[in-house]
Amino acid sequence: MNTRRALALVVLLLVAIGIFLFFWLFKKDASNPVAPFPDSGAPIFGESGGSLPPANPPAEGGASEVILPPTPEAALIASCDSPVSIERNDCVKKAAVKAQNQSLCAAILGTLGQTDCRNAVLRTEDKIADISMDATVRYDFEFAEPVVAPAEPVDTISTRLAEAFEKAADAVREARQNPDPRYTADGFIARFSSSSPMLYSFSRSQALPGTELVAQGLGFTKTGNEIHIGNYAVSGLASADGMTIRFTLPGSMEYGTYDTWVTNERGSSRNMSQPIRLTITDSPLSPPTITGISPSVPTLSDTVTVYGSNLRGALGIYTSLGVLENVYAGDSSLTFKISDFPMIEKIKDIKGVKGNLVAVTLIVGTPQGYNQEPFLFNVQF
Amino acid sequence: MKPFAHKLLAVSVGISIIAFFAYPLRAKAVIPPLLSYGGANIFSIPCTCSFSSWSFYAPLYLSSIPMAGPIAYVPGASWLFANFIPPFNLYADYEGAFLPGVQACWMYAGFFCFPLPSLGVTAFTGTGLPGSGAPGI
Repeated sequence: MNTRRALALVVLLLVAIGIFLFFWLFKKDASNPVAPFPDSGAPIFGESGGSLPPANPPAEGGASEVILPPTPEAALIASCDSPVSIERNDCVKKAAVKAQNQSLCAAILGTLGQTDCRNAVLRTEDKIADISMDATVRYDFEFAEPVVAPAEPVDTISTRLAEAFEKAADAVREARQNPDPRYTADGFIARFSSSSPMLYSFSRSQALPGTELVAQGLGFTKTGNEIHIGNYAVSGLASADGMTIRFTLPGSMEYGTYDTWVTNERGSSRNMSQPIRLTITDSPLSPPTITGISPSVPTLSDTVTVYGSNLRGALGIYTSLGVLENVYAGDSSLTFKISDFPMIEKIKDIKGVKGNLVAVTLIVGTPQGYNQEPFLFNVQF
Repeated sequence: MKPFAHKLLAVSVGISIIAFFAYPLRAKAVIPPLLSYGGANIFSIPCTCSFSSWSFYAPLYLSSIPMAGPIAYVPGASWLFANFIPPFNLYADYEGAFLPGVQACWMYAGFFCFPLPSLGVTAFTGTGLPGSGAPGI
């Protein structure tokens, strides 16, 4: 009994030591992204009274001679102090490429970013696919040859750069806690929706007077939008997202087909060369709906039949594989060939696509509008 | 006693596994709901109704598993990495972040515009190739 208890305690102790060692080692690595750098306690690069520190301070144990060229590019790296890591890394990479000096890449956070930077410096004249960070990542995945920073730096690098890492890492941590709004979804949406007004479509293109519709477009203001339907106008309309406006057609409208446009304080969406039209009629047709396809999981050689309603007169099908026009459509079905999409030939042999299912979103456009609920299916490549 | 030893071992292994996975997994992605992506742009067309373009990426990496799909690009709203070549350069590799679910590419046909489906719209992107001279971010 005592022996077993002692054995169990030993196991527990070993596990605890293992956990401690793991954290200790990992923390040591994490605290200095470039582990081989000796910590000499040298001043942080760029913080020595505005002048560059000596180019070749003594290295520990003679392991690595410090070479930091006192060039304008090196000074530029010191000025790459944006708290946003993307901006900072980009700034450093630009300086490294400009100076054709790959040692400057060590100021980039992360081994992939450094590798990408070195590739950019070394292979500026090479083909595009060899250069980007994505190519590096994909190479890693596809060929199972991990692309990591070499155990010994390609170039001997200043210990001051290692400290610059620390400084940058602090800046990045700070940026994550207080993100720059320009790099958030809200920042993007603010830019995206601040365009002049553009009107794309309505939830249906044929309607009775007095029908509630949704206008889809871009650049709508929070309040004060006005939708013009021929000589009619509906004003004082709000848009919460800048991309849709819910409104009701005037009940007194006469039947007919009208040009439509939106105006607000940013201008007018009216485009005489590409009019957006709305038909007011006593017998409006509904937009198409899609209920299913056959076969349910088509292959590249299949002809697909789409089932639904109000498909007659389809102007085209709009999918995440591209556009097909001149499709044959009856009232309740239409057909097309998967192989008719030009994209198929381009992607069918690409790794990650070949032999796999690829999700496709399907929209059918007709004179009555398009299916408001996109239909999703998979294609077997 | 044997069950006790087993329990102890199981708890220890469990703690080790949790510690192993919990510590290094720190988020380095862009701020949600933006998603980071990378991929080769093999096909790009202008959207005839909206001021944007529709770029098809294959392979497209939203994770370590390659896939394929389109992402829209909106000049002005989609920011470029400074001095890096913007989209329309086919077979170039891009990285960036996109906002999923927003349809930003619309095609004109028959007095109406129809959405050309995409995974979302690019918030910022760029290649690894310097030299475009674009104003960038």
